[in-house]
Amino acid sequence: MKKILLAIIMFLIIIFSAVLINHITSKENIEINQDDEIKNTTDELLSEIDEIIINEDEEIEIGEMI
Amino acid sequence: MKKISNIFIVIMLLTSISSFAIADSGEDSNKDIEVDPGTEQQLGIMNNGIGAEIRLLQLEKAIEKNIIKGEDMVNYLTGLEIETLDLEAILAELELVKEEVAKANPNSIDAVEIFVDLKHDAVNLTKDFRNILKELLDDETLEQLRQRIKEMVFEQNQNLSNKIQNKIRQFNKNNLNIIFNLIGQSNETLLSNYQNGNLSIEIINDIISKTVNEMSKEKKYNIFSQIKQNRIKNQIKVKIILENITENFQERMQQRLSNRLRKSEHMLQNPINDEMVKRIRNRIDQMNNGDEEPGNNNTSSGNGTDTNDTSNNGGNDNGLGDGNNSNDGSGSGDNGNKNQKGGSG
Repeated sequence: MKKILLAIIMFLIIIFSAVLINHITSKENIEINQDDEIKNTTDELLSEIDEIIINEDEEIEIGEMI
Repeated sequence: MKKISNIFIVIMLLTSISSFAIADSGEDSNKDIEVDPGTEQQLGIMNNGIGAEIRLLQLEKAIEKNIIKGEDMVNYLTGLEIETLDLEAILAELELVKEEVAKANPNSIDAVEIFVDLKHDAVNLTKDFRNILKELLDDETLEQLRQRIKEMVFEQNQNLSNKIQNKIRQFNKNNLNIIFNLIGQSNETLLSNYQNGNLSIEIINDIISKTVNEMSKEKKYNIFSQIKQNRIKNQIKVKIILENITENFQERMQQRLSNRLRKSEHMLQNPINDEMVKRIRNRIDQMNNGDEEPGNNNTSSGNGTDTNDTSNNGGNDNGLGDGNNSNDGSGSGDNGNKNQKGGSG
């Protein structure tokens, strides 16, 4: 009985730790998906390059007056 | 024994659930402001001096544009003999915000904080203007005004637009130079031509695209990794900066309003300035009484739930190079933000 109880507690602790770690890391909101990076490298690279170029007509919107 | 074990399990589950609840509520209570994703994206290039200058100029342009629109509407309403004092007071304050943006030092360590704060003020003043208009006018007149605004040409904005375009070209040139070095094809003449406006970005993109297609998979991956690494580092920097600037937002806002009040009290006395002083005083009083957002309920620094609020335009969360903002210790003019925080980045 004691062993079962101990196993349940250990199981709960592991689950709790896993959820907690997941919770903390998700806060960082930075995902590095290696599979995605490898797949279709050319398109990915060109899109990365495209991302760092600012559109010359870009504007900041602060809402309309009407 | 079974009962004891069941009780123990229930206690454990309750403890784990309550710990999440406590952790979440604790985090929220520390934050005075929620920065919207659009603004967060715009901050990406502000690690870099030129990037910060671009964002501040873009904000100045957006405010100027709204002031011009607002003045035109006031003229129209005056013609209809509608009382416009409230609207003019908002425009006068928007003018003060614009001056603060123009005086902000893009190389200052507080440039991001100043941008977020002043954008928030501009968004809220714009919203106030819109709300007063809605109260004053019927749907038909509102529609007439909308049409009038649509047809407006912003020639007055041209000077700022040119400045922004030049800065964006300079920013892009620096980033393109790093990319060309990475792909092993440095071409100074090409980039100078782009910066001078003799070559479009599309042509440069074509050249990069052709070069990338000819590269080995390994090289492509190496370059991709380097660019992505810089991007992630940059995102982390933005997150850290955001963590700092979202705190003490209310204190900074109170300080900004006090500075504006001081400034407007020294301005020429007329009904518009008097009304502006009254509005600012009211908001300071509301803040002293514990109201979080005086004047309105918008707690975001940009996009609110109102469909007319800011869009996510201007998003670009990158910037290659070391991305360090130089800290020359110089302030942002008289907007008072320098004294608010001991290091936001």
